[in-house]
Amino acid sequence: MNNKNEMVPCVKKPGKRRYVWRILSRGLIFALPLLSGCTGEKARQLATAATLFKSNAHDAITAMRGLMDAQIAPTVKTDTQRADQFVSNILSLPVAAPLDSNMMDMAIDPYSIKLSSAEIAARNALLDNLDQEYVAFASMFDDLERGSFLAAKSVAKTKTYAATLTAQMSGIAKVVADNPPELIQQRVAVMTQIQKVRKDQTLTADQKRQQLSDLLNLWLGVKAQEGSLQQGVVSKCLIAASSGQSVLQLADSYDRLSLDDINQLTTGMISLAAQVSGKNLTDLKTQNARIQSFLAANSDYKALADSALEKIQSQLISGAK
Amino acid sequence: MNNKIIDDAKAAAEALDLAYNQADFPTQIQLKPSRDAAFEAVDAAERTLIGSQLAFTPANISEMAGIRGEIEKAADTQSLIVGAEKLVAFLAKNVPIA
Repeated sequence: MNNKNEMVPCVKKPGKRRYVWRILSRGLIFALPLLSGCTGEKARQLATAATLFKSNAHDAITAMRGLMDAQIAPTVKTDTQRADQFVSNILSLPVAAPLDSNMMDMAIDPYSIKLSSAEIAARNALLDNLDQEYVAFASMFDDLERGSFLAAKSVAKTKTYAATLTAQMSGIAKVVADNPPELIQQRVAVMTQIQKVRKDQTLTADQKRQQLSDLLNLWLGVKAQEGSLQQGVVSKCLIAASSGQSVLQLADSYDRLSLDDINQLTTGMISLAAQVSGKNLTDLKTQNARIQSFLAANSDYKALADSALEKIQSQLISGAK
Repeated sequence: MNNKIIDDAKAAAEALDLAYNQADFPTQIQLKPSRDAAFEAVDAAERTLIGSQLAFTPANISEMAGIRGEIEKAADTQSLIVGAEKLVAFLAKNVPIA
């Protein structure tokens, strides 16, 4: 009994200094989130949203590259068509004409386009650098969860870049919507066939009508492909811009939004693709205009968007000189 | 905003390609450099159109790297604080106090 009594004061009645230790240890861990208004979960959601923004921008940039390739690409030929073309081309050359590897390549495929190395480098630099901007943006948040209690001020600084990157994707969506792509070689292939029918004296009027009617369907098919290509790029840019808008809202209100608000925003980001899927170009333009209005309506974002616009305009002016 | 430069470039490439398609192979050989140049102009115009919407500079990339550094520093500091908290909790539990 005596031994038990001797131990009681140590367990049940800690000294004042022990209370101080406990208050200090609990106080530190509870005060941090209250000071910053942030939790690890909110930080994780913001980092995930930024990663999604990067991924959506990458998809949009890949689609832009595809559009640029498609605009200058030759029509697809079967192996038989290619072989016939080669034979016909070689036989049309004068016997004395010299043959080399370049000539062979051209006889096999005279319609492919050879861009200069300078143009290839300029195009790659534009699209690769653009991609890197979104990668660099998302990487800012890599350690946010680990530093969620103390990084609120740094998070606030990221909204400048979120606004600019959102404005960029929205701007690209707009210029592609306003300037539809053209599958030039596919258009010309149909026009060439139409010209042949028009000039062919051996065809009757009915035969010409029938053939031209078939060629109209080919032409409309090309136009449909162009529309699909345009819609693909605009919708991907719009998905990226919409996710950028969500990241901007998250970064702007990081220390004020509840976890539920944040969950709602990030869940909305995941369903963006479904929201734009199947929409026509007019609807996509309207949705894009809403993003631009959002940027313009909020005074903070407006200043950021105006600053981005000034940079764009000065680039256009210097490019025109 | 329709861009006249890209419209003109596409019209020129289309006209040249139509002539190219109707030419025989020896003539196509003659036309090929001009045709390639016309299509290159289309590519360059599209690139300029997309580029006109970009506002980021290399300085912005450096600034973002700076913010990333700040967040990493905050993370390290937070780890130290959490470590200190654990140490305080350990001391409170295990160090006998008179």
